[in-house]
Amino acid sequence: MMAALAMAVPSPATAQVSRDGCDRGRPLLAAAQTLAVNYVVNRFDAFVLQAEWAGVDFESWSRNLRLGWEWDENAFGTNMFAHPIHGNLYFNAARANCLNFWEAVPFAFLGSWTWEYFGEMHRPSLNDFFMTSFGGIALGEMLHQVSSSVRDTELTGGARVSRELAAAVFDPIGGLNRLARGEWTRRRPNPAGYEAADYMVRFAAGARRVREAGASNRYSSTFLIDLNYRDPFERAYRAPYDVFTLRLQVSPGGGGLNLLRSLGRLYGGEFSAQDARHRHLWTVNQRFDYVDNLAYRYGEQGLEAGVLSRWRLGDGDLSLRTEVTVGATLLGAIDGPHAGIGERAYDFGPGVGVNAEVALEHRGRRYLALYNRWRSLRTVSGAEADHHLLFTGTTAMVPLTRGIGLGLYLSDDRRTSRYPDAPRDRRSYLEGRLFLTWTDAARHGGLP
Amino acid sequence: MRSRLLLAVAALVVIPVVCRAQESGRRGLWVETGLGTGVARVGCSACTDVSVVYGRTGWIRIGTNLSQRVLVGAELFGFDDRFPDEPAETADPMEARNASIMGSVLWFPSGSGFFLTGGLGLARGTFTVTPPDVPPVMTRRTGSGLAFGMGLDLPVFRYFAITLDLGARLAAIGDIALPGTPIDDVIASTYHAGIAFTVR
Repeated sequence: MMAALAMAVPSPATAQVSRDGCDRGRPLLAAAQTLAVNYVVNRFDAFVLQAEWAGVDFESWSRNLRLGWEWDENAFGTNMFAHPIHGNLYFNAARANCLNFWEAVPFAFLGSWTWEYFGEMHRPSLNDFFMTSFGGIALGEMLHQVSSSVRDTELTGGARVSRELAAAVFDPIGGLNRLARGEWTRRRPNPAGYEAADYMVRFAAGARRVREAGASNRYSSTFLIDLNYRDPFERAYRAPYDVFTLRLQVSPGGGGLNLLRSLGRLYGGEFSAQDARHRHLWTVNQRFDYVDNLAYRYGEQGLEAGVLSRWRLGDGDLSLRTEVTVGATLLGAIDGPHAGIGERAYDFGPGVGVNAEVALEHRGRRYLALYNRWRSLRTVSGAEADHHLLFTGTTAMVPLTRGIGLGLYLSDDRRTSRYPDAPRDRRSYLEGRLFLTWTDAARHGGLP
Repeated sequence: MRSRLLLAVAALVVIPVVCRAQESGRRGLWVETGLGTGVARVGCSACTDVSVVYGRTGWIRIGTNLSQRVLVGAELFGFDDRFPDEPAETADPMEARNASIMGSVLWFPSGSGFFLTGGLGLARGTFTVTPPDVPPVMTRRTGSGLAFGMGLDLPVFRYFAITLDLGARLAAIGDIALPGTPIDDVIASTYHAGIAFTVR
């Protein structure tokens, strides 16, 4: 996929990325802050939380350097969810020091690498390194953009400080840097490229029914937040994550955090003319998935490339949007009956995947969508196995009133795990959701 | 002695100037191919020590630029611990070869020819173990590959440079089945230094 990307010759002008109005980057300060994050977190773990694993010394450093990498046995949530949050601090130490997206990427790896060797007594963990680095980049860039959109550097007084405080919640390293430089009160034009109006937020609340094959139905309440940052058809590619989506699903009494999924455009272009009736874009995306429901747990860091098309139907604003992407799972994790090592109950491995989606939309708002995602993972840590997953689902939306809508979601997820010395493990998982949605209607025409 | 000193001073003065000249030419397709030497450290989940083997490395990278300072491409890298003239009796109890194909990114943080590189993709490892009094056992596995490194382009002509390259490559290939002793979750870390011919 990267080779395919390499074959495309981009326009340097479109590849330029923002420095947020800074004259130059400060890589040495970014590196120092990256290492400082590790020092502070380690000392907090050692002194406040009394964590045994944080009591590092020269002996543990020497042992870690000598023995090198391994795969750890931490809980699924720790490995697949908590580490990306840690990694975003490294990435944003670089973004806060005026480095652009690509320039900030090495700092996520630097922070993660130094933490793995010198921040814990355990041997460095390769899965942590993947999840902290790649997850930190994905989460870090989205949080950087959200926090930059929350700030308004043209305001003064309490309104200004309250926005800086709110932005610091999303990007604490950026907030601390700005505080240290006196930028919480300094009045200056807002940096270009961060518009709060470009976000569409949708909240959904409703009931969920889930059933694993052979088991009884289980019901719970469920809540969703969708954050959509720009539409690729409305904005030509400018910089990484100039278009992204983020979805969070929580079901109290139904597993808690069920889903965290993000997709950010790293690179893209258009095959067709912008004023063409039918338009076709190519895109390279970074994907982060965390799924933990009653039937299975699955997580991945991935890259994908593919084609998005928008086909106009008739003379009105109705259109059909299609999306086909193929991708690589850089590191995936999935649970299974023979999975894991030691106390760990899931396998790690790389994989490949295909995504296909078709949606009926009116003026950019989706009313009916069907998707199909296939994944194949090969275990490199855990029980030797090939895991095949097929996620299929559909969503229908009915507008009720301004900003309010009624939604129905149905999905059928299937997996097959093949082991060389054990029977195949087949599972299926059905989920249905009926929910009310509220869409940030003021800026989006009152449609759900 | 004095001539060496003058040569060193001249190099320090000239190289940054020429490197900056090359930066303006860093656009479009680029190719880098090189050879080097390396060491592979092979460990596993329950290992209390690592196996170390020394060998040769070779690589080719090809790609294009996203900007003046960020280049992307694909890389094919190989490590082989077999030396053609090595007497059979000095052969190691373990032989290790690995190869990887990756997407890679090069970042030139300043106007000089210094760059950092990273990559990820697939890695394939071939291990031959010779236990005492038992015929050699060979096993092959494919898994995840990850690469990090740094380099320095020393321009010779406007688009042609000699590149010094230092790097680490991780190959996470999973379990290796040896007679009676399966080895879980093998990770081979290969560290290498090499020199390359580069057109960019």
